[in-house]
Amino acid sequence: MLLYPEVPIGGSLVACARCARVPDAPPLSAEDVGAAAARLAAGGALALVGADAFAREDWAALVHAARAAGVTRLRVDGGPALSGAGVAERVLAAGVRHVRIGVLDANASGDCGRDALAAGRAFAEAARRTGVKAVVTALLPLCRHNLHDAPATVAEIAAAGVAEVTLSIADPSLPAGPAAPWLAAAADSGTVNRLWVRIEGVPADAVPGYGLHFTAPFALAGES
Amino acid sequence: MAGSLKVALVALNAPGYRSLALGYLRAYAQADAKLAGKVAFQTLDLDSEMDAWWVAYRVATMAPDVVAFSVTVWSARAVFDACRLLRRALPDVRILLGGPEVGPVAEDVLLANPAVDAVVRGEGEVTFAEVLRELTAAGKLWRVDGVTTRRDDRIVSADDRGLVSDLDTLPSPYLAGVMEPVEGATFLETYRGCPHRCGYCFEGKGYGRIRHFSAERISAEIAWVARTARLTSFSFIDPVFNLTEDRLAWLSDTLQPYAEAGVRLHTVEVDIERVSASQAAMLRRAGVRSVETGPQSVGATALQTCRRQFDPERFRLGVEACKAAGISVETDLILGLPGDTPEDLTAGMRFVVSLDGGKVQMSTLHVLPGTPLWAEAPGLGLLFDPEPPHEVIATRQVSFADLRRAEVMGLALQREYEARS
Repeated sequence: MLLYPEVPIGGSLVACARCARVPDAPPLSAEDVGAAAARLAAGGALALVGADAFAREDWAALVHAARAAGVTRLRVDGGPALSGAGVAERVLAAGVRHVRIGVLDANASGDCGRDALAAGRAFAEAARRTGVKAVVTALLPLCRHNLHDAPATVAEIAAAGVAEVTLSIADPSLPAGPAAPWLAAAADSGTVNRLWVRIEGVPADAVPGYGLHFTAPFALAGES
Repeated sequence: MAGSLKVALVALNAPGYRSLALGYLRAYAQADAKLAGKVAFQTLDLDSEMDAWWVAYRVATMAPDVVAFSVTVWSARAVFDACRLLRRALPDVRILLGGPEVGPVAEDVLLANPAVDAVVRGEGEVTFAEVLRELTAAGKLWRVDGVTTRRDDRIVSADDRGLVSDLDTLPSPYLAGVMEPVEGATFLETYRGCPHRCGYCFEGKGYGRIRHFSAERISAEIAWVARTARLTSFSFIDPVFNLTEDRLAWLSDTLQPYAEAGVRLHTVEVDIERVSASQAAMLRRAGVRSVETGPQSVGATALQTCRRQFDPERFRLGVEACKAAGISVETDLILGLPGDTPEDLTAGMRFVVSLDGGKVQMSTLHVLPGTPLWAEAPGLGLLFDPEPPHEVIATRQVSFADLRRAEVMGLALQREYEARS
């Protein structure tokens, strides 16, 4: 729901193995993250996007660099590494309060399936145990390979305690018209499970009656 | 009913809270010379999440002659269920209800709830004491002003009772020893009524004018909770803490010594558009570290329908003044006010988030008995659940589905906004 200027830190959070892949961005150093944060995070918000940041040995340095540059509202893309012993607690101790996971198919094993959901749960549980207010959001890129599973996947994401999921049409060959009923069903699946579903990548009028789900992110004071 | 009465006063509160209303009722009745030696009171402050069967159990084990429930929109369903159970468990008990959920619709409440004997309407202290006097004598409740009750097979309403003109005649629940001050859950009342007439709100409780407790009374209560009871945190239930500049200045001067000793006021409600740098400084001196305010809506039509003023620039300046004084601002939105479109709802969310006051609170409209929206709902096309808590179903501008979506959206936004280190 909130606007975050994004800094790609390398790799990809989630991508369909059967679709043509866009080459991943090279890994960014902590120094580069700090420079990017100083340049972009005028209002204090920043997102580190890319492959599971917490799988990197220098993840704490990335977070520190962002915060040292004045970032007060930080979202970090994370994945199965969060499920490691004590990792979620250390991430919270480093000041991270918002993690975004990437999911393709909630019923599949692997980094973009059940393992991603488990990572989200681990972070949320650690926050509850330590009495810290934290949030997990999710990115669900949709293509012709997972579109029909979207409603069920959204329900599983909701069950994992995620607050919001963005359905992003990642497949340029996926026409908006045939996708619309699945997007609507996925949005409804979220609503009845109290998970907010945001849709991007198709025009709002492609899914009539679901305009709220196309609401653009909000910016805080001082942010553009 | 002659002789002594065992009276159970019961409220179902948000977890950790106690009913100030019951405190006032009991303090006044206990001070009534005509009831001395004739009535014994026990107060049950229960959790609103308690099942009605356990509420009935707690009351029944006290074996009261009279049970009096303070009923709010949040507790009404459980109270009505508990009354039904108690009527079967204790056939001879007298069941009385009072509070904003039942007073304005007393006859309907008695029609729908045959287990209930009477409803105390409006301001309850004097009426409730007179009810108890009547119950220790002839028991003819229909003679008591402010009461709606059953007589033979009819429901009858006595005349309305006038408001208490001198609030100091109502004993303080704290100074009278009826309520023990509790850390973080102690609230003081310095006036009754509200300067505003917002269409969705019952804060003014139909009082029509503002009546004040005296400065001496307020000072004594503050001294009691902050010095004698040594609380480090309490607050005020006044709908507008910065009612006037002079009053705020006096409160600030009175509270300042306690604030300097570490006492804090948790979240007072303010008119943020009137908060200047000097008012923010006064709030800070008084020990205030967080305030709660509107705008409830930013849509022109909804604001007009609900008789609310809103100046976004003055609102923003008030928030900035509080932030500069180290006071966080909780900004509230009501989703589903008649007149608001889906675009108005998201515009409201965008506005409150942009202010970055520290906390945002969004909730769907609940149409309260006795409010203008309750009376005007048919003409406004406002559909709401007839069962408490009377949540909005749909308006002319926003469908049932979009209201549910907006609620989920608002919850996600709150969670994300508050997740900051």
